[in-house]
Amino acid sequence: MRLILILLSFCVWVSCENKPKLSDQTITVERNLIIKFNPKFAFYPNDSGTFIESKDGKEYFYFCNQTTERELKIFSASGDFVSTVSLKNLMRTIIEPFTISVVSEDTIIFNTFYTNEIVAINKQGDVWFYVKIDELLPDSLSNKYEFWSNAHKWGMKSNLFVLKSWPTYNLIDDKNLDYAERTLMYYKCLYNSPHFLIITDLFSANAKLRMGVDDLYTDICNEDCLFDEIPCYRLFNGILIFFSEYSDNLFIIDIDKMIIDKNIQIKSNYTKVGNDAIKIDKNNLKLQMDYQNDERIKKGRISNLFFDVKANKYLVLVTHTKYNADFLKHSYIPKYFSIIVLDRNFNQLGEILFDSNKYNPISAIMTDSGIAFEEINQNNNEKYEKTYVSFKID
Amino acid sequence: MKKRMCLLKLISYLIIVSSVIFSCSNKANNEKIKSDYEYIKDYFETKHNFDISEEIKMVIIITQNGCPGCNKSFVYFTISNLNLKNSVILVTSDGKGLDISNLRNLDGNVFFDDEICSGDERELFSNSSVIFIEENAIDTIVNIEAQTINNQFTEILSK
Repeated sequence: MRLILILLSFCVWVSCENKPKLSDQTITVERNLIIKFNPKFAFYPNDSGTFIESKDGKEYFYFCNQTTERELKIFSASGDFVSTVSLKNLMRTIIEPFTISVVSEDTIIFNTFYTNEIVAINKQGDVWFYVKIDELLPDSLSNKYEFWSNAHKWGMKSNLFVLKSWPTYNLIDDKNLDYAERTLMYYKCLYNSPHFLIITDLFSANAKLRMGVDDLYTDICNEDCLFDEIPCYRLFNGILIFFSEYSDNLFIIDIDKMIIDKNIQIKSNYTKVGNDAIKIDKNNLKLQMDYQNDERIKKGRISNLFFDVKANKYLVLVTHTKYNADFLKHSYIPKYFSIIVLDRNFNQLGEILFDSNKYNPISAIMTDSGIAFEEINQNNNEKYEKTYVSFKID
Repeated sequence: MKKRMCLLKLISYLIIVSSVIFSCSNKANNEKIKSDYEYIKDYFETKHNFDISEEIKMVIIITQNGCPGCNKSFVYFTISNLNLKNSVILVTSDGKGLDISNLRNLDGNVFFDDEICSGDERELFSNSSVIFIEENAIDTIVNIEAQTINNQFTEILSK
């Protein structure tokens, strides 16, 4: 009997230990605003965001459906519809836009993948700027790389445009190699290539382009690993920060020298952060790729990074390894996710736990009223209406 | 002796109870099992009030899952090359990952359901595909896949 009681007490203690705590003592979090938007179309989280309009200093939200509706809709911070920007003229200029960055209602920038174009349109939807990046690059670099921008705010204030670069697959020109050998060779090439393109004064006639940060993955994995991933970088206050699903570090990049200046390790109380990249096995490459595609997004990792201007803090969004069984079949939503709060000098202040049954970590927007997440199980009246809840962190 | 009888009684009772439970659960499972054809037929009847009659030979599933370029080509292929008279099209894309504007204006049996994913237990509607139907049963399913897409288009046309 005594043994049973001891076991029961142990179980209760263990379950209490695992119970998520809402906030660390050094930081406070407060549910701030609830905002509803109805763009009347479906959109990807990357095609949504906020911008501060320089003409009136106010914050606006945007939501874009590039594919079917070909429209970008702008809303006030209280959720009122403001205007629609048609993308039809843009579609006549480029085949397929890819990432959007809204600087102001008259500077809406699109970047294409594969074709390396940057286009800017105004609120009437007219294209006022178009450039093929390869035409700006010197011959030694032109047509050798593909560039993909981040969907989030570019560094307009610091007059910097940052794009992640990949060598084109055509650089591996040995036709005698089989698929696995070519892939291995490509990864080696990618590993040792410049990983960033930085453009200064893009809209002027004297745009300056620099490529660099060749050693980006040196501390993350070896060159014979599967380590490709979507661009994971942010530019805040002129500071370029890279993060990887294969690491628990933030990499602070010195833009002038194009080298990694320092690493900041991110620690979570709830999950392992970052996953080891798999070493390529030429005989099982297809299986490895399938495994990586299926499994990697289910693992704990840094999945987003924000800078809260009002709180003057970095917010690192970490998704956890534990998953909701209900969601496993068709989407990969973790059971919990955290916001790890860092001060401006990257000192870790605390961790806030969020329940993915209530808030969607994939649909997060940095707003003037704090970090906002799309609410799950919303009681919306109309199909495409979305409810966001913002959190004030101090 | 009394103890042994008690134990024997208990074992017999457990055997009887477990047999009853197992036989019931098997019966329930048997009753639940529907063919994939019936599953599809029920879905269209319930959700879209549409009867998959004997005239329907193809169920065309258009999704935004998987390879975006393949789905785009498949929409173009469907509109340009397929005889849609004896077909039904189910579009599960919500329009953000695939241009469905041309499908909205298409004549014929075209249905839209972008919430199907969470209810598609058998994953029959989770990939772009053509489901060929023959004599009230599924004859063939041709899934649209990146590496062999041209072969799949040829196979669909040859049916």
